[in-house]
Amino acid sequence: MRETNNRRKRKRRAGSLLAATVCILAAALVCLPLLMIPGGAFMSDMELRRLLAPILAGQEGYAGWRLLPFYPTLDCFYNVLVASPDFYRLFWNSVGMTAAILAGQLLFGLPSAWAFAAFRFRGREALFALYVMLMLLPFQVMLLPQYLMLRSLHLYGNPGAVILPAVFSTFPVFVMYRGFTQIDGEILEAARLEGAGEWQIFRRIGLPLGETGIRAALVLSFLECWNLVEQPMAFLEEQRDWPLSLYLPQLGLARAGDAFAVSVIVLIPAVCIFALGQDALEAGIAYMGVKE
Amino acid sequence: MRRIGKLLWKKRRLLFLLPGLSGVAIFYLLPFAEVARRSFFRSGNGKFAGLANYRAVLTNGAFRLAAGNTALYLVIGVPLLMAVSLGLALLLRRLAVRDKALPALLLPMAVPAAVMVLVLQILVDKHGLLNGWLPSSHTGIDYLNSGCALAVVLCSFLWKNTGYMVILWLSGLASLNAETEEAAAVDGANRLQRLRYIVLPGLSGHFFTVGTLSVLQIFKSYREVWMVAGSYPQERIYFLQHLLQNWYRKLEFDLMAALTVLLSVLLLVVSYFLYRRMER
Repeated sequence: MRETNNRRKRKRRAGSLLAATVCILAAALVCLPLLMIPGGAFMSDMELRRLLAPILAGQEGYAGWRLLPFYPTLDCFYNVLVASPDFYRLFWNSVGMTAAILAGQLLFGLPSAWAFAAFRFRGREALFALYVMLMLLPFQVMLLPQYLMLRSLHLYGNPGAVILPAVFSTFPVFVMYRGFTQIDGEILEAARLEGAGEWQIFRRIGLPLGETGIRAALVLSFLECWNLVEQPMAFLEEQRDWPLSLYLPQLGLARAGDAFAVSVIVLIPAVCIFALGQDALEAGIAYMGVKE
Repeated sequence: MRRIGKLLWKKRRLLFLLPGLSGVAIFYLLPFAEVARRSFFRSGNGKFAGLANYRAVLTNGAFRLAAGNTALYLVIGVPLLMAVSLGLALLLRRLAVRDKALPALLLPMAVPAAVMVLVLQILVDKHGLLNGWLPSSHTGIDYLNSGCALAVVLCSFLWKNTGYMVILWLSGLASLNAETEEAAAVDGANRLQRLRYIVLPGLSGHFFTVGTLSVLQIFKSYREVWMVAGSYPQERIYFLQHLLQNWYRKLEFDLMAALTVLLSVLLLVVSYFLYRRMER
């Protein structure tokens, strides 16, 4: 009896070791490509050109890579940060758009999410189903409708053309709503019986208890806004209004050094926000999967 | 005046919803109604066209190619992502490395598309790193311009989204009753039986949430496809989104209007079905 127990235990331990190995391999596989980026950013243009020559010039053989540069330099950062004034304008465009969109989502999306979570009104289900459907629509399906609307509002070609539709995007409402549904309904009922106003309940109970969902929605929105491509390309004509995320693809492999330097600069805020909000993000995503 | 004030007071709870809802109406619902109207007219002379725009879309060769490709991408991509992430979640759920592995798996969410595309280009180019590493490929496959293009797209989709879905599955697994499973184990049910008869049925509600979010993410992955392969990629990865974007550039608004209506009706039906299952 004891022997079989031991054997079972050993078998189980071997099993979880195997599982752990698979998971660590998967995680490593996911992170590996990212390790190429810092190396590329600190290489000189010449070194990169030599490594990527088969791709750039179509020569025989295959491109190579080094995780650490042979001669580390700050040349590419200099090119981007000092020698090209474009960069700052685009960087601040990105920051401005992202900030405006997030602020708008807090102002409009947050109360909507609360209304869906805390109140029972006629048509609530149908309306929420509509919100879920809108969140699934790819941007290209919205392209013509939004173009016509932005034209008639005289917003086309103006940063508002990118900001306003994003402010009313329904995905953050969905994420925040799922966060709010974690709150026990009895607390709200008790507060109402005690005579608390709806605004008070929202501020004193909803916001503190729904905070994780709100933060998760903000992190997801930030990552989305920092990465806008199709919207500004479709609705902004002037290159000086573009966000950074449209500038990077223009550099391409022809200016690989600068592209890697910009990549590092673009990645820093994204990774910082990700690291700061990671707990909320994990919890917020988990709420999306939880039933009411 | 008094009566309006009274009504507002009675419905004051809806003040939480109205500002956001009016924005949604202005930027999403009203424009749709306008496009639905337009889809029955010719934009050149404003004449009623009946179903002519729809007929033009449905007989269009590019549309047929793109619709087929998009359907194939969805039919392979969504179940593949769901299966891979469920597998990882099942492995991860009782492991100590879970807290270390999860952030690593989630990290791609933070990587902007343009950065990811830069790395992808160096990896999968005909003269790229992947061909250099693989011993057998003396000729060098041009992955993005061959039949492999869809596989490359699927890999980058998996790379970006697996962590996201793993967390969703883990939350579902955490909500299962552990005792049922233990009891079954004591009664001699093996791993596979427990998975088949206890774990998977317990997750049935989660399939729809994960499915819905997988569909959302697969539509979003168009961004990377477009950035890495341009507006006219290899024909296996020419999706409906390429088509709409190209028609937009060419100002083919009649065709766009009809296709927009077709796609949104289709998505309305699909998402309503998903939603009903998700909220139950």
